[in-house]
Amino acid sequence: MHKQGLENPGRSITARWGAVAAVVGLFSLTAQGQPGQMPTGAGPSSDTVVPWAAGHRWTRAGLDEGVSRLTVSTSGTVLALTERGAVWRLGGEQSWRMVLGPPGARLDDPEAIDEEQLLLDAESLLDERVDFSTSGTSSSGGGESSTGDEDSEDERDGPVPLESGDGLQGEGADDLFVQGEDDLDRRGRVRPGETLWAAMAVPGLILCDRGDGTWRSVDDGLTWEQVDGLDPAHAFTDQPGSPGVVVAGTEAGLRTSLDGGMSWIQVQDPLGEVPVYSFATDTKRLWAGTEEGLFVSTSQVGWAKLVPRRDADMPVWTVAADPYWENGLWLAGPVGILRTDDGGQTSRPAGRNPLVGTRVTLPLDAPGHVLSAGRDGVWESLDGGIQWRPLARGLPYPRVATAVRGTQGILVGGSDGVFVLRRAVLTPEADLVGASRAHEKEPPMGELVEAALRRPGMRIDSVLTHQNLIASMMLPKLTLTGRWDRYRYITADHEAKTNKGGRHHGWFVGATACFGNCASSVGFSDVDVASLAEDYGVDIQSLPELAVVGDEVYVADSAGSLAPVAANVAERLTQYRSEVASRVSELTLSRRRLVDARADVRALSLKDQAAHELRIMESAARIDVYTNGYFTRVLEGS
Amino acid sequence: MFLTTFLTTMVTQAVAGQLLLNQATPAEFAALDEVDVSEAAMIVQLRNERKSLRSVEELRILGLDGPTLDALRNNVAVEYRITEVNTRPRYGSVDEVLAHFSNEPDVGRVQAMAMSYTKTNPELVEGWLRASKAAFGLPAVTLSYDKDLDDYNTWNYVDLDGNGKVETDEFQLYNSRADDDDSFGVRMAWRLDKIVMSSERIRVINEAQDIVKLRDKILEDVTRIFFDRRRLQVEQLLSPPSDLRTQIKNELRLQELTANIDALTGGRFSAALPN
Repeated sequence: MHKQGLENPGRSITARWGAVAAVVGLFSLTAQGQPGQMPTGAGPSSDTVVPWAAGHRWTRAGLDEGVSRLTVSTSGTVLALTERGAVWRLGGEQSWRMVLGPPGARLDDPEAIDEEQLLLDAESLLDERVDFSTSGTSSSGGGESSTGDEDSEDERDGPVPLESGDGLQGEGADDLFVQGEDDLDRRGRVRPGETLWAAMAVPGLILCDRGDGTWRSVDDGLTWEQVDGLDPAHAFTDQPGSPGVVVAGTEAGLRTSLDGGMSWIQVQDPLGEVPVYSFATDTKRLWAGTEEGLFVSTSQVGWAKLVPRRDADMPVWTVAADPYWENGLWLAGPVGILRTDDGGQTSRPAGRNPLVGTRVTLPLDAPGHVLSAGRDGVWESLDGGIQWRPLARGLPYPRVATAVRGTQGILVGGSDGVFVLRRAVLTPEADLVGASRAHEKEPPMGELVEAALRRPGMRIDSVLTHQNLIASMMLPKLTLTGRWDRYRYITADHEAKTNKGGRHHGWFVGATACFGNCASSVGFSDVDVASLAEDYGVDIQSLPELAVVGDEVYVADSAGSLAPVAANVAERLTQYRSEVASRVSELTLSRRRLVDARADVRALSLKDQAAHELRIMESAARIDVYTNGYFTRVLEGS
Repeated sequence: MFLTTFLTTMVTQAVAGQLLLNQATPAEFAALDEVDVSEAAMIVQLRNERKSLRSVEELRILGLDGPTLDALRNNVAVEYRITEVNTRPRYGSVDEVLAHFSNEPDVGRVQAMAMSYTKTNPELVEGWLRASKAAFGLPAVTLSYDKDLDDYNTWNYVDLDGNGKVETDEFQLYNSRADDDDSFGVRMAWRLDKIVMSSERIRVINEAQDIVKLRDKILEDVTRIFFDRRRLQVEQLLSPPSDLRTQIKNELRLQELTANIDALTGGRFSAALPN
């Protein structure tokens, strides 16, 4: 136990000791799967664990029907329980085949089921009816079963879709954490009767609980027989240390089978009548997530409730043990994901993102490396749930009902079918580093928008502001005049006694400053007034000056008439500036998304990769259009 | 690096009575309406320099006017050479693929060509805006010269001393005459108000805005066409069609896109393409 790791995420530990090679080596060993070590945070784990999210993309796995549960058998065979209740098997040839038809499938529907399989099923049913009298006696549990067999069969008539209104009955509906059935479903509780489980202790044993009851296969899902005596089940598990002993978590409580699921008994223990939703095991212990909290069994018969410091009675819908992390458990309930580092003695929210609606937690390759799948899609954490990264690319719809890890990779199922996630071709670290480096040289978006709006012709010039109009009215029309005159004169009397002549010359200088309307800026000629005069006989002299801006014509007959013209120009300019800013933002984001997706397309053909690269280049060129090449200049460092 | 075999097919998109752009003689060009002898010679000279012409739009580089280009468009056909590649080159990365086109002008250069051809350079707009403001720092200067060629006489009664007042009985009639007067004038007027606000400046701003919009649209168009063309080139390079019909279709599309870029760059794009 390294409890301090929880209090202080591994980043701080790494910062303190990261320079010491020996310590780094220890962390590396831990991250590679040394049992008994807890996750210490983002630092050591993310340095060594390869995230699935890097360069990921979900691809269809061949089954497009809505799926409510997936399981992987000991042989690696993947089986899927569909929302209609059919069971499909992913064979060695990597193709799906229906091995158990949906409830109520008819013989005349060739696509629903093959006849041979139906005959086998019918034989199994006949066998079960023969055995029912004996098994029913043992499964009744002395008549204390809270739900009778007949009632149970009525309730389980027909398939139970993933989002149907069917749900819990009884005390659970009034739970503090539960507002109603819809809320329950949204938060991630799995409905009873949608269970498919492959035993690990008994090779080939598969159990399926669906709308018409419980089905059992002992040949890895090839053939099925129906068994009876079990209430709608949420989960099955092997009893640790007892091969062939199967424990079922049902809506009516815990049930146990000593014969590999053929018959079921109710054990008198604290979980006998408590809805049990999920199980987790290690080599010695068995945990049960129930309506009344988390229980643990360290023997084959006894159960003890774990009472953490808080939320002791909170339902636990999902529990998963981390194989790389001794005493590490992942819990999911109405409040989202919780983690416990001490086998359930204490629990706490895993991180800031509660991931409410989680249906499956899937520990992966190293301590603290976990996958969460549920209502909000698939998320991955490398640091014990402190930080989560979405795995969303390729998933058409976020809601995921089930997730398993098979030889093909990680498979998830939901209403859109089954999807598989394979690791990226290149090392994810390189992808991450590459993606971050790809944006390093990019100018910030604000800088790009500013560059776009700073272009000549895009600025809101001060001339368009009303202050300038006032200032223009205060400034004069200043006129300086200089004149030099020369004139000649002759004077004479009529008797010509005093005739005389001469020349005069001199300067005349004047200055005029005119304020007000004499300083008007009138001078528009956007309209061809001459043609108006010629074509329509308009008296040009009486026509005031006109201005045309956009679709509007202004009469400019005084200085004040500039104001509406300027306002209109400013309005048009502002509108276009807004459009340009928006366009630059969109293009920048679009390009960043394309750059981030580079890692995804590396698995595609060279032609597709080239097409993707051209889209990135086109985005950059379009940004350059609006920034006069500023974007490329910054990228090139010029 | 790789072996490539070619099978060349000549596809002529000729209609009866039309000239072939790469085969017509200067005299045949000159016989067309709106095409004179000098223009015909220029066309043939350009064709010889480039070895072949891809479209009439390439001829924009010659500065031919609209009617001439229209006459050529209506009367000239273009022949295309389709090359069937039997052995495709192998490329190891996207960079190698795109390097195949490194001898063509890049998109930035094409954008500059379009701006230059359409006279929508930012520098041009900036110059107008600057001039519209600086213009009013200079005065309106008026120079004038007046010459009075009219004689005029003025008669007054003055006393014998020549004073203008007639207070005695002795007086004389006095004549004052003026003619041949000159007047030189200079008048400088500053519209100080227009330095901060003028209709001319508002109008230039308005026009500059329209030019920016026009430039943005032109550059968006030319960028889109450029990358449509480049995508088609990459497709032809990496997965060339096997049937002749698709080959012809792709080739025509390529030439159409090239011509579209030429139309927006005044033929500068084709001029920059390798022969």
